[in-house]
Amino acid sequence: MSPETLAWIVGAVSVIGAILTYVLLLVDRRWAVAAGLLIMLILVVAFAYTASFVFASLDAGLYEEGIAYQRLAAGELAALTFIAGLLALGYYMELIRGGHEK
Amino acid sequence: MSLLRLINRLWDMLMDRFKLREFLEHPVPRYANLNPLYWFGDVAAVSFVILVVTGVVLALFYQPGVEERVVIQHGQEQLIATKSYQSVYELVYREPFGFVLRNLHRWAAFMMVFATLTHFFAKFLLGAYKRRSGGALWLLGVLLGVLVITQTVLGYILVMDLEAALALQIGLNIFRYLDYMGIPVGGLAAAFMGSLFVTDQVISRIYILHIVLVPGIIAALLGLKIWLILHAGVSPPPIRDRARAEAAASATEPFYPHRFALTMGQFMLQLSFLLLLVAAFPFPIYDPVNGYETWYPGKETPPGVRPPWPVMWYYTLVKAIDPFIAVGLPVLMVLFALVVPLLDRARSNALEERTIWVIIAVIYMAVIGYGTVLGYFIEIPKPLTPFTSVEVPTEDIVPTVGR
Repeated sequence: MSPETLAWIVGAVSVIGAILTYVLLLVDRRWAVAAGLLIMLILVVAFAYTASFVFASLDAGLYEEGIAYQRLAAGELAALTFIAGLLALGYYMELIRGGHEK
Repeated sequence: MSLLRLINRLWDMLMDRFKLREFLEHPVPRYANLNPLYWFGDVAAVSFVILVVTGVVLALFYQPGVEERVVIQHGQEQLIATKSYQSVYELVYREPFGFVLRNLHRWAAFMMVFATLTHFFAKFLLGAYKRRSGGALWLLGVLLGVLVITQTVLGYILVMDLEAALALQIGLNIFRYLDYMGIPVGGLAAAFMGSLFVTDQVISRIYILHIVLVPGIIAALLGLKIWLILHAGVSPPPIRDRARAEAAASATEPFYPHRFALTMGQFMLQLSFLLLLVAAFPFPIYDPVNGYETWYPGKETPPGVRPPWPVMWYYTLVKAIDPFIAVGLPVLMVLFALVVPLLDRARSNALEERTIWVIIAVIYMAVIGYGTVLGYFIEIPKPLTPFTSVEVPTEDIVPTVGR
C-alpha cells in the first residue's frame, strides 16, 4: 500500500478515535479508556505494518520511499501518544472532580 | 486475590525502604497544576529526557571527522563530503527509523530551548526569586538556560553540512577575535579545542562536549533544581493580598497520583506534538561542505543560510550593530539576569509592586524575540561576521574542512 493511502486511512482512524475518546471522557472514563486502548491497539498494528514497509523499502534501496513510510510511522506514533495523553489528562480531571474510587 | 495482596505488600515495602512515600505524597499547590505559566519547566525537563534517549541512539551512529573526504552516492549524484556528514547522511537515508530519530532529536532540542526561554520569562514575571531558596533556583535556572542554548548550537554543528560549518566557523572566529584582542578566553578556548580552525581535533572535542560534558552538567544542575523545588516548593502566586495567597498555597494535591497523571499526560502530548512535527516538517540535511571552494573564512555567506533560531537574535545583533557591542551583549544579558534577584527590592512578588520589573522582563524577552524574527525576514547587507576581518597569517588558515 502506498504511504499516501495508508496515511489517509490511519489519519481517519486517528481523528475519529481521538474525538471518540474525548467525548467518552466527558461521559464515563471507563468507556473512554476502553475505546482509547482499542484505538491505540489499531494504531500499534498500523505502525507494525508501516515498519515492515520501512524495512522493505530500505532493503530495496528505495530511500525516498523509506522516508515517506518513516514520516507516516511518526504520524502514527503521534496519534498513539496523543490518545494516551488524553487518557492521562482525563484521569487527572476525574481526580480533581473527586470522582475516582468513590 | 492473594497475588494482589502480595503486590500491595511489595509496593508498600518499596515505598518505605526507599523513602519514596515522602516524595510521592509531596503536596503540590493546585494553582501550579492548573496555571500554564507553571508548566514550561516540566516541558523543558521532559524534552531533556527525550533528547537523552534519542541522543544515546544517535551517538551509536555518529562519527566525528572533517579532514578526510568520502564520496556519497545520492541518487544519480555523487556528493563529496566529510565523515561527519556521511555518518548523518547514512543514518537519515539508510538506517530504519534513523530519519525519525534525528528529526525527533532536533525538534525536541528546539522545544527545550523554547520551553526554557518561556519558563525564564514566566518566572521573571512571577518574581519566583522572591521566596525561600528562590535566589539559588534562579541562579541554577539562568545557568541551565545558557547551557541549553550552548548544547543546541554544539549539536547543530555536528552534522557538518554547509550551515553547520558556517556556524562553527563563526563560533571559532569569536574566540579568535578575543584571542587577537588579548582577552584570555580566546587562548583558553584554543587550548581546550586544540585549534581555532575546523579540524578533526576540534570536531571531536565538540562531540565530547555535546554528548558528555554539557548534558552531564545539565543533568546535575537539573537534579539539584528539582531537589531544591521539593525542599522549597513551587513559586507562590503573584498576589498582594496575603490571605488570598496563603489560601491558594494551602489548596494542595499530592504529587501522586494527581501531578503524576498530569505530568504523564503532558509527556504523552508533548511527544505526540514532536512526532507530528517530525512527520509534517522534517529538517533537511543541507549540502555538504565541499572543501575550500564552497566556503572559507572571510567569504560572503551563501544567500539564504541562517543559523538555528535559538541564536538567530544574536546573529541579527552581530549583523545589525557594532561588533564590539554585539560580542558583549549576550554576556551582559546573562550577567544582568544573574543579578536580577539582588536588584529587585520589592517587598513581595505581587505584580502591582513590581511594575518596573514586569516591564524589564518584557523588554528582555522582546530583544530576543524581535532579533529572532528580524533575522528570518531581512537580509542585512554586511558580511556574515565582522570578526573575519581580523587578519590571520595566511599559513595558519586551515580551509573549512581540510584540503
